[in-house]
Amino acid sequence: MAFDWPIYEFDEETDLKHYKAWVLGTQWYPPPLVPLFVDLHFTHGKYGMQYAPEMLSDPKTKGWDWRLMKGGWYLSVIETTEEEKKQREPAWREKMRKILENPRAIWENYKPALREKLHAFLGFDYSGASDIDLVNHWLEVWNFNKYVQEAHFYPMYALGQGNITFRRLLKQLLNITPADPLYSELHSGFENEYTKIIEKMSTISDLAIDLDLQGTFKNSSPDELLNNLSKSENGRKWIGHFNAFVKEHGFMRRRGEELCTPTWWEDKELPLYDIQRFVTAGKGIRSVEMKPKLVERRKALEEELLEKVPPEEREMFQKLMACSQASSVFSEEHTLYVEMMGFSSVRLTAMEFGRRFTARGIMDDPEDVMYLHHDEILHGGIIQERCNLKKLTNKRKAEYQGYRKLEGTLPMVLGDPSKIGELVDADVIFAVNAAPPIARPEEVGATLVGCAGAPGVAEGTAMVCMGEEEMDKVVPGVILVTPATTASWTPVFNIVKAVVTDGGGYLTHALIVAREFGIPAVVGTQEATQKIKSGQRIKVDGNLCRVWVLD
Amino acid sequence: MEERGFIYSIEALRKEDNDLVGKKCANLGELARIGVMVPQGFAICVGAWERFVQVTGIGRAMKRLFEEEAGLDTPSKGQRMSQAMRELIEAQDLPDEIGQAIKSSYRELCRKAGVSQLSVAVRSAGAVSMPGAMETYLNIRGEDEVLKKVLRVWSSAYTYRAMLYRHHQHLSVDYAPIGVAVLQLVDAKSAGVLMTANPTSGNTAEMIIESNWGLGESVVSGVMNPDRFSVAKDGLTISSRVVNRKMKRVIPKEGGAELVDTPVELQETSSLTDDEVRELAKAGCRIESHFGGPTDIEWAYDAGTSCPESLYFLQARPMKPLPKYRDAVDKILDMMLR
Repeated sequence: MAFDWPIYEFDEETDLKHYKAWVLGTQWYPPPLVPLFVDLHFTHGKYGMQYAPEMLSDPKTKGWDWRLMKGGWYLSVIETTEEEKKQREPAWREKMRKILENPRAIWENYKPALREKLHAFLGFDYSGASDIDLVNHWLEVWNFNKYVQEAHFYPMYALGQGNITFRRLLKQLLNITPADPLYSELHSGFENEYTKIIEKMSTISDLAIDLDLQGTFKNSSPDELLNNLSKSENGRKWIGHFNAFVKEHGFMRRRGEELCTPTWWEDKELPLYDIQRFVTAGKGIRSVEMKPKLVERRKALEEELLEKVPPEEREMFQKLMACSQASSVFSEEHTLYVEMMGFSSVRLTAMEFGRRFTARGIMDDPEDVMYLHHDEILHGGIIQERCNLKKLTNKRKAEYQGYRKLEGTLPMVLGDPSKIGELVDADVIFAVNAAPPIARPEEVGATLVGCAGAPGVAEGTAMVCMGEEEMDKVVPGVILVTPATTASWTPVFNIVKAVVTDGGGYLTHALIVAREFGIPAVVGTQEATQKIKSGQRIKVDGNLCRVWVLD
Repeated sequence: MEERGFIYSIEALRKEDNDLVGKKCANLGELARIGVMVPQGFAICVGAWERFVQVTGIGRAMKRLFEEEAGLDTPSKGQRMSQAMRELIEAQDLPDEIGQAIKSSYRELCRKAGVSQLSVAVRSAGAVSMPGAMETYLNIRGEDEVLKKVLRVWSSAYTYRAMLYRHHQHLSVDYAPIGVAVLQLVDAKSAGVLMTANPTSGNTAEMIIESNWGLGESVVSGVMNPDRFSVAKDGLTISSRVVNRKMKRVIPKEGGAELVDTPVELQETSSLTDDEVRELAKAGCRIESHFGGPTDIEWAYDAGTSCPESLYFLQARPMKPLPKYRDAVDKILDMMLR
């Protein structure tokens, strides 16, 4: 049970007594989670979730608590008592004041240290390291990921409050809701390092078109593409650019949020799939090409809206808007550092252990290292062949595979679903996972109603993708229907018409990226992947958060 | 310090002279010292009033009036006592030594201004400021008129509201020595008040200016809705400007001043130009830093000259304690907690 962590196992008796409700965390890490990731996540991630509100002296929340049930990750909020609220408020005011004076700084200040350390980790000579070097590296990488989570959640808490409050102010002063296209325009057109990589991908795709390679891309299967390209001079030239691109950004992973999927360094066909789709789609259809326009529109809109705000509210409006925009940039960019670079540093080290354990016969497969706890890896790393890890890995692998069979059957909520609104009120960041639904579909005559949307209306053919394994099915111009999206889906947003997800709340990844790419999205529909079939014509209205099946 | 017994030149006065000549005079001296323009004029010291009481021997009569008519508790009684006191004071002649000193100072003022019958304002100056409790006489010309108004200012310390004010402030009600300021009247194009902090929000980062056409008394008395400007101290930018419809203004008339209808074409015109607002704000910053805190200032722009030379300051005093300011960030934080 719970991969040998009884303490993390959901306990109906105590956990429903102390908490109002638990929500399945599908947003980043769809179930089931592998043990090594659970360890990383519950050790450092949960620490970060509690570190942030504690350091901010947040009056309303002490962060989240997490449990495991059947391989699924469930979340709830540790609410403060009335007395704690009073106690924590003065210090919180002081800290938030500094943050509001310069909201961009809070995340920017973390970046240099993260960049320096993580690049050093990622550049480690894995295969050449001695066992003892590798052990030391493992400890260093593991411990540094604690800091990575501080850098993750401190800005998320601080800026997220600004974002949620700005929504309320927008509604109150100008009657603009987050579903309004104006809301998206206000939050788009910012530089962020993550979308820059997608932009580079786009540039490399254009290069292929300019080098007359579109035919080769269209007519080659993914696994023979590189080989076919190497036959022509232009193709070889292109491969040179592609290799340089992968070398620079190879810490990226498909399922960036988890540890099990390979980095681009390990499998460079991964970015190649996306590039192939971009090249096939051709120029002029990709959303990143819209970027300069977005910047211009946003700046004009900022001025226009400010004019409409009563003079005495202007300073407040500007400060909150800046905070909300900083939150938006952070939301997208932190993934690069935390989940891509940070988690990749853990993965690459663990996999090197996996290879050594397998070579020494104490484990069956390098990938089985994912079924270990971090201290077990340390144990194995130090005493090597004097231990047998197979017993552990095989037992947990079986447990994991049992959970896989449950995919899609885990309840979205444990406890009282009507209490979710209260949890979101206490902890605004909880809105990433959950938000009270807007209406019941039958009330409004739609097939599905979500809890939040990215603006716009689109009609098209649905493509239901149950997980990242199926991501390659997505072809340009379809409407993506999926349980949830993570940062690794970002390239797909570049070519689809709209996105619909089962899970999600106001701050969900899918919404932020859809807005950035200017496509409609509806999240938190609960059952889109069940009610919609691939190939059906559907209509998505991100303004109203509604979806209709038209066939 | 230039001393002529009972008379002091305004420029010679300092804050420390508060008890000698009253707060208004002492603060005007301070303003002159930091180089902002104040009208030419002189102060009649508190000692002059005491000498007056001594020479005329009205002290005993005043005391008796107090004892006989005792009680401020009902308006009718209070009014009656006030009237008796004021009549008693105003019926006296000024002792010659005081009268001659005032006359000679007035003549010197006229000579400096190059005008034979200079128009002056005769204002009260209590050691404790009692805004609006005592009388001010505007547009006074000629030695004899000035003497008469000095007596009136003295007696105005015994208006019912002035006595009531002292009573509430736990000050001596029957003994109220005050100084008198005699200042050249500024023939104001526009005038009003400048507060170097926002008295409503408590924001000390901005100044508030209220202004009307004519003499400042219309703004001070609150009979009309003045133009209102907010100026950010940082960069002296005008952050808001509200031009109200100003129906009335105070202008000089023979022997005094009167509240009259404002010409239609001026009613909805701003009574200050942006330059004038900024000039005021600039001086406001200097005054505030000299006085060491938020200051309430009366000012006037002279009609005969042009900005910045036309700007005069008529009074400055520390503002009442401000409410605790809640700025934009406080409001955001309040909203986050809701």
